[in-house]
Amino acid sequence: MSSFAASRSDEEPLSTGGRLGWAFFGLVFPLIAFAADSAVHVDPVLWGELGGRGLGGSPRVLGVRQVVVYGLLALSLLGTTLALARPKTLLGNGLTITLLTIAVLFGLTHAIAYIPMVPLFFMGIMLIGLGLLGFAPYAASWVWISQLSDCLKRQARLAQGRLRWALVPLLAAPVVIAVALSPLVIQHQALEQIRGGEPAQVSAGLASLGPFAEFSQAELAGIYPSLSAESQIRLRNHYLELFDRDVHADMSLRFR
Amino acid sequence: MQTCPSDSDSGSKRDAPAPGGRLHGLLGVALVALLCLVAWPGLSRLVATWRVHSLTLPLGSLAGALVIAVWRTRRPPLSTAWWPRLPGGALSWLCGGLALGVLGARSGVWHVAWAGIPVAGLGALGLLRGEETIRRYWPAALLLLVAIPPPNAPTYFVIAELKTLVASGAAGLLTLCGLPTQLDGWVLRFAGGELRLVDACSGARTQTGLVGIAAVLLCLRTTSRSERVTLLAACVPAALVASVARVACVGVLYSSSWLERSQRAFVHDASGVLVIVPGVLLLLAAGWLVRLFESHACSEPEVAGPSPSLPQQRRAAASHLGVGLALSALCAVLVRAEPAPCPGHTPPSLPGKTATAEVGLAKGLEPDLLLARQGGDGATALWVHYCDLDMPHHAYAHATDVCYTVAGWTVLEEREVELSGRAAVRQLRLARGSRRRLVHLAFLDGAGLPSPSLLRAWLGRAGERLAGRPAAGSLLVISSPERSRITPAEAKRELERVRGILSSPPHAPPPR
Repeated sequence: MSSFAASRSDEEPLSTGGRLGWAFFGLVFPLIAFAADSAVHVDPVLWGELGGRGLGGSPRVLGVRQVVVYGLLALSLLGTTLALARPKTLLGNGLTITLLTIAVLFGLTHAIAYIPMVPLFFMGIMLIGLGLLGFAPYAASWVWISQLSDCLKRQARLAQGRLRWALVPLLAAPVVIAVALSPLVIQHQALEQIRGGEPAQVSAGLASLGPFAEFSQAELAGIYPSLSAESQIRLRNHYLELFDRDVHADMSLRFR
Repeated sequence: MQTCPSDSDSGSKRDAPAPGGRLHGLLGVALVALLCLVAWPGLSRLVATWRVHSLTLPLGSLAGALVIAVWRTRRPPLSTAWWPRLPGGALSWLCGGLALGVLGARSGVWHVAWAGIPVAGLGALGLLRGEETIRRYWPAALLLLVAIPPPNAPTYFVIAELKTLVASGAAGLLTLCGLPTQLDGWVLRFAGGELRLVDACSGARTQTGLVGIAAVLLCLRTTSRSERVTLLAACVPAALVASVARVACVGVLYSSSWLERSQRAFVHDASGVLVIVPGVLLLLAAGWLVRLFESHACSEPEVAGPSPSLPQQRRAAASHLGVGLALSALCAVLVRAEPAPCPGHTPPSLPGKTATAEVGLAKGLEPDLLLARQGGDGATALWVHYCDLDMPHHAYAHATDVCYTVAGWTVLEEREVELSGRAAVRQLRLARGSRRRLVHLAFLDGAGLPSPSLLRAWLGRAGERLAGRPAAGSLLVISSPERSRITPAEAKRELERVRGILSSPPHAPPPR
């Protein structure tokens, strides 16, 4: 049977240039982009605001969203690193496939979120090339897709055609992402409940925040002014218990 | 590509029509032509449906069918070892197609009549050119069937579910992309605008296109069974993912400051065309993955072997007498068939309040609003909504919750409520932000009786017409005034009011 897979040898070693390209665009470039972003707060996926939060100081408090996004980034970079090492076992390769699938979904989500800012990035290239960092999601997505395809070819050879060795790692990725995003969903639902305005809802919302309340300092401070007087008192008391700080002092907490 | 000598060697021999088959074939062609003539109003309506909704549906299918047909006429023909043989002979396909045509024409369900034409045409072709022709061209005929839009009444459930999936996925993705999105019904609200998901956003059209592409891919290449299954099964998730990505992209673009409002239409339309691209890529990726693993498998891929030819005894059983009798009977039925009036040619069913009395159940009512399809300013105390199930183009015959949901209402609760044992209505509790609405709706089936199920009413209307009785199918919606909260007492009072409206004896449906 003639096929694309059969026409190209899987044993073909990756050239040094290709390996360097993968390492740079799949590992170093995203790292530089995220490091730069921690100063300029542009990434909508990370900061939760389309178009970014603009230039500001370094984050003071990390929220749930930042923890989740940095966690997914770490998994993606781990996948790239493993792919560069080209594991030779079924399990190792399967793990790489899972991590790279997470990386691809992570990169494509960023690619969608960055669409409105593409013209700005083009103009930003004139600023000593800083705008190029805005294209990191597109370059990284391309590298991660190439690496995933390479891993799948290797897995096909290692598994001798047993498709489950590809399907299970591929399907595991959405499960991992769903688990990773669940704190965000819980936080979102709880904050919506608190926004309801009733004092009882404030208490119930804080209770359902559970362990994530600790990471929701900025969000709670942001909601505070929109509440009724009675609910504000309730939230202020809870806030004091949780963070040992007065919410009024954190009203200006804009950048986390 | 591989050639299959066995296929080409014996092709000319098997192509020869059976004795007397040419005569039967000509008769079959005449019958198909007669069927087209009888179903002409319906056919003109099919063309109108294509024109109004999407030309890509018929053009894609026709192009695909043409590609397959041209490929199949190549000499020597390529391998069809994996190509399954259809059960039954040419005559049975001709009879089946004609039966579908008669059934559809009589019942007024034109989709069935349209579906009968390619089937009957295939049967006639088989009688004219031999049984092998059916085996060669049935994928092309199948692809032509894809061009026929399915009737909305039974399929709107699927479309609604797909839209809900796409809306939820897009809202989640947009929120993840830093654009907090509120989902009201099928309306996505975010800073800078809102997106209203209509049927075209459900991914159903993309699915149809992907099915066509998958069919052409499968027909043009030798494929294993697992690849065929994977390619066809991947159409649905691929279309859904592509639609979610499209809606999310449109959402982030709408919210961007540099995109002017006048450019939004272009972005919307362009993304609607380009949505097929990620869908096709995902489909190809699924096929590639299966092929990749099969190429490394120890054993050869499972390929369906040539199916045995029909036994000669079965051919002999279809004697000339039987053929003649069957065709004569069909001819008689077809000639006697009184096609249901084409609603596309009738004047608008309910143009004004005068139509209220005609419906019967709403007799004496003075509704604040009469609507052909959707609307309502939210402040009306009574909303009577009519929807003729036979609306032109058969595009919008769906239950009212679809109209409400697409207008941004979320269905909180949906149940059937008995009305003093005589009839039942559907009760919807709807919410839109802090607004609440209680809706009771019923469908008038062919006999003019209220039914809570659109499908039941639709089938009842088709059944009445099939029995030769004039039948009307309409939708009656009685909506409560809008409130911030609906108490159980208010719900009970509304139900009493609906009971009062529906307690008048049902009138015979208006003559069509």
